[in-house]
Amino acid sequence: MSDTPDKNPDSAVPPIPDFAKDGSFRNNVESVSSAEFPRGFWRQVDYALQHPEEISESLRRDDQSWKIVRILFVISLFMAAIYGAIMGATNLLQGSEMPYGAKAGLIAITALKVPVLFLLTLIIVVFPIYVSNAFVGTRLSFGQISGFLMTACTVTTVTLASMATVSLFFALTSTSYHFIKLLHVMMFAYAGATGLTYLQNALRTTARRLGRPAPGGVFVIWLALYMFVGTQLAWVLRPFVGSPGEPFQVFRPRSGNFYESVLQSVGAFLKSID
Amino acid sequence: MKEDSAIIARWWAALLSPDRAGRIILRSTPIDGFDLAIVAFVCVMYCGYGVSMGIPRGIFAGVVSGFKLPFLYLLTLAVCFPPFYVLNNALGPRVRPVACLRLLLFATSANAVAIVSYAPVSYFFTFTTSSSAMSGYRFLVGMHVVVFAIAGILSVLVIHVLFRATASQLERPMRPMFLFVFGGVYAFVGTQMSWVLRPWIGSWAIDYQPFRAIEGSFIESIFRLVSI
Repeated sequence: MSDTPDKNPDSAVPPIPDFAKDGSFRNNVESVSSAEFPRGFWRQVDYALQHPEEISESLRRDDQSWKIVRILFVISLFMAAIYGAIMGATNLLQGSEMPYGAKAGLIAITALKVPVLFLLTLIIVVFPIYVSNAFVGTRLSFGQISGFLMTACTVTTVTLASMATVSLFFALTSTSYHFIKLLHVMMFAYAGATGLTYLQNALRTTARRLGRPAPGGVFVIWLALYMFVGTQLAWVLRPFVGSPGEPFQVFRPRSGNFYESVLQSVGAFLKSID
Repeated sequence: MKEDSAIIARWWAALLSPDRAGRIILRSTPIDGFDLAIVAFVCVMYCGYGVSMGIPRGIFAGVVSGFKLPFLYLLTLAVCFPPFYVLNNALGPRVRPVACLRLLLFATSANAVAIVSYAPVSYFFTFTTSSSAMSGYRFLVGMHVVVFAIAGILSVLVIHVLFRATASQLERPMRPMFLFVFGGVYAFVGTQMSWVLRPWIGSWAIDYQPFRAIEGSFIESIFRLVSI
């Protein structure tokens, strides 16, 4: 492609600068200023996406942590609700037996449940994380820890909302309940991985800038805590998609667990295509 | 007409030089005539190849396939755009949405030109394959799958090259992980889209129908194919 002689001698692609190769420019925060959120919802969403370093820096200085938490709370709420609505709409699009009123109800309820899932998980895990962070020497304040967790939650929900078009497309064009359920599990796993990777990088950078030890092994415990609480809460809050055979219900009686159900769906999916 | 050829020349020069493409992608104007012209070229090029897919089943089938092929790529682009923009912020050079759109359009045009370059080969084999035996049908299906797979891999690589060019112009990083994640999403959506819009060739064993009812998904059909 590139062996055609070019009239412009300077048009060869310059090499990527060294600092940029491993993404370490994100840690190069010497010149980063404090976050200044613009006015207007979508501008704030865009700012949060494009300026994570500034947000980390603000949290490090701890000068406006609660303001950041407040702004990101609204963004997370909205983004999670978008994906929730798509999840609830799966039933409508795939044509189950439910009456239309119940289907509309399912969309509204799931749009409420997904934000509750994310934010309640955050509230449950923030206290143990705050306390253990003090013990391992990172010693971030409660506002800082809340800010970092909220930022990670925003990254997760925005990533999830960006996959809403993909989920909607698959809901429109496939018919298997188990397939769509596994698809949603995959989307949540992908979004969660993105958010937690972000959290780990941000905490590491901030701890270094503060000259304190970064959470190392304990981060894995936080990760496990977040995942177990999240999946269990998701299980308690179900149904999200609504099995086509079941009548409309806001909550289901408690039985089984999340992992069992995912394995069952994998089995049913593999069986259905045999 | 002269204007058109100037646009084509500019587009082709940009395809050959990622750095120039990077500059075109990063220009600050909103979507303009140049971008729309690329959309039009892309449609024409896909149409040219699409007709060769349906033509064994008659003129009507050829026109339908030719009409459907641009939609396969443009709809996939539309579905993949939000994940692309967010990924570009998480792992890439954080370019603006309009630059993302231009970049995807450029990559799609690279894919289109790769596919249309096979069109003579495709027409040649289509007209020289006997349309009475099922083995001919199977051969054509295999040929098209290979062409699309090559062009698809190429377009993801082009996205990578273009992103590298924009990243280095902006002096920002771009992680290799980006290519894997987005390539996965793009392939996942693209294969399903082609499944939804089928038939492309139309099995010679059954009557021709321009669209089929939605059933299952591409992934399920692959599992089925493997398990038999």
